[in-house]
Amino acid sequence: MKYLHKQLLHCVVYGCTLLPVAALAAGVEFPQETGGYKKSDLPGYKIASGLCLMCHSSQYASSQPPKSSPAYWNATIHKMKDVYKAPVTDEMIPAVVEYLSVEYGGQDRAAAHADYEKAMAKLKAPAAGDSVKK
Amino acid sequence: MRDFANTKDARRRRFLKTAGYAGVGLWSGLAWPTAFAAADKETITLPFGNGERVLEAFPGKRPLIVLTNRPPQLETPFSVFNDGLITPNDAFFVRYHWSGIPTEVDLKTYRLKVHGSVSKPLELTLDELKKLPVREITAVHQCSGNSRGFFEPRINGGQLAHGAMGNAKWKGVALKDVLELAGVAGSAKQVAFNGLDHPPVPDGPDFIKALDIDHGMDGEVMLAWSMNDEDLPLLNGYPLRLIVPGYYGTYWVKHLNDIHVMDDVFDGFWMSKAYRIPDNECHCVKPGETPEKTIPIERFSVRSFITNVADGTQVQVGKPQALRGIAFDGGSGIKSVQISTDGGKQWSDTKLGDEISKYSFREWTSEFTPQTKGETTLMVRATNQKGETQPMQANWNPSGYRMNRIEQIRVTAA
Repeated sequence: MKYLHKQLLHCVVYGCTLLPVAALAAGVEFPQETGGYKKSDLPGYKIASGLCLMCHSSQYASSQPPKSSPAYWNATIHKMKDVYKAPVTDEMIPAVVEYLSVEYGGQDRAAAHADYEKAMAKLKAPAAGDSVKK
Repeated sequence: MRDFANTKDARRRRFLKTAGYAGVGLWSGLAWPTAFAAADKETITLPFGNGERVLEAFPGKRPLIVLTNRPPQLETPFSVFNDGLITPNDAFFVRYHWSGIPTEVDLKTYRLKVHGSVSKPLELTLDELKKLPVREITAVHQCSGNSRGFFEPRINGGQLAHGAMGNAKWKGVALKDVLELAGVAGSAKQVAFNGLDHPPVPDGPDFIKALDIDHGMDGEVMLAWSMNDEDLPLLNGYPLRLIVPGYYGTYWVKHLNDIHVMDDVFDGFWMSKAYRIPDNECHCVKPGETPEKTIPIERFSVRSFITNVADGTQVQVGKPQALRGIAFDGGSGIKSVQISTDGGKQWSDTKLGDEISKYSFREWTSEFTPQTKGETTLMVRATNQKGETQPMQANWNPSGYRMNRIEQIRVTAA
């Protein structure tokens, strides 16, 4: 399983040709979604297209109510990591939250990027009392 | 895809082996979208923001409203509820939590395990299970989050219209009979249920649900292999699923293969953290508030729908318009269904159809003759045998469960 995790992370960073397409190979065909995550120049797009799509289709984001808040996207990504054990690292989270908040939540890009910078700074220099899980 | 049309031959061919589950299947939720399907699919727009959906035919299903492709989450188009009180198998909604779902099940190797606080642990084949006394019940199955998309303010989660419900005749055996065969210890407190679906990544919380032992032994909770006189469709839990009449669908574990009798209260994620509602009478809070205390969701709230008139329909002044629909509740039974044709000022009783079972959809019929030109709002409201009825405003709660506001249909008389 450890190996597989590494493969998945590799896939996010370098592309996914190495990832075995295990799903749906076994005779029963399920219709696939059209499109995937919304294309974006934000760095979180590539991470979402890698990590999120491993386990579920992008409609989990696109069907949410318009203007779903940055707090919702942040809580959701943390739930994916902490509860559902998605192989996402703390360092990846701010970029994914920025991408989802802008492209699906309609957050202003400057505000979203400021949130990103704040979250990254907090990761690099945790304030006293904050615990950063590795 | 056509191989999975609901023909007898197709059904025989469908589910052949579990090998995939132990090996490749463990990761069967993982897929890479190397090729997205072409964008020429039939679509529908549900009446709330971001309500655009495609309709697609999954194995064993007619084209249904796709909430998510992976895992499959499919809604029944609302018009189906006007076709009859029984929801056809190929139109019945689908809801999964994890994308690791069995694509095939081999009955030669399939076993239902019963273990834990029992005197005689069991490993039963489906054929062995079928030798127990066979029971039947017609019961509504409904997702806890059915109609979530209609809450105001909106609530994140699966954005469903009214199509995550259905009514079917379930055939199987009583859980009680299986538990008695295994000999439940006097110390048992709960029974936990697990199925063949699983998280796509290691360590994700497997979808396991639990019922109190007294509930499990009530004779009504069933293990069903048949739905409307056919094998369960794969996507509705083939080969066996739990039927918990009157209770929300979260308990109706699919692909059931493990029953664990426990001496304590099961505290897994899907009981202790998810599917919980405010612990108060309305199971609601003010929008945005967090409940002080929560409890696991249980029985359906009472609901009713007009099924034969769609929103925006044109009707004729002076001409009687037949009205028809369905009502159901968590098992006390429907006492009355009333309609209002003046936007909720006056209410009149409708005629109730026969009670197929207290857990079934119940038909109601009525008539209305528009007296004046213009727009009017039709409303429908059911009351159950306990006296519970439907609120005008939805009972808001943070997870968007138990939606049962009075439904409204606007018609224009000309």
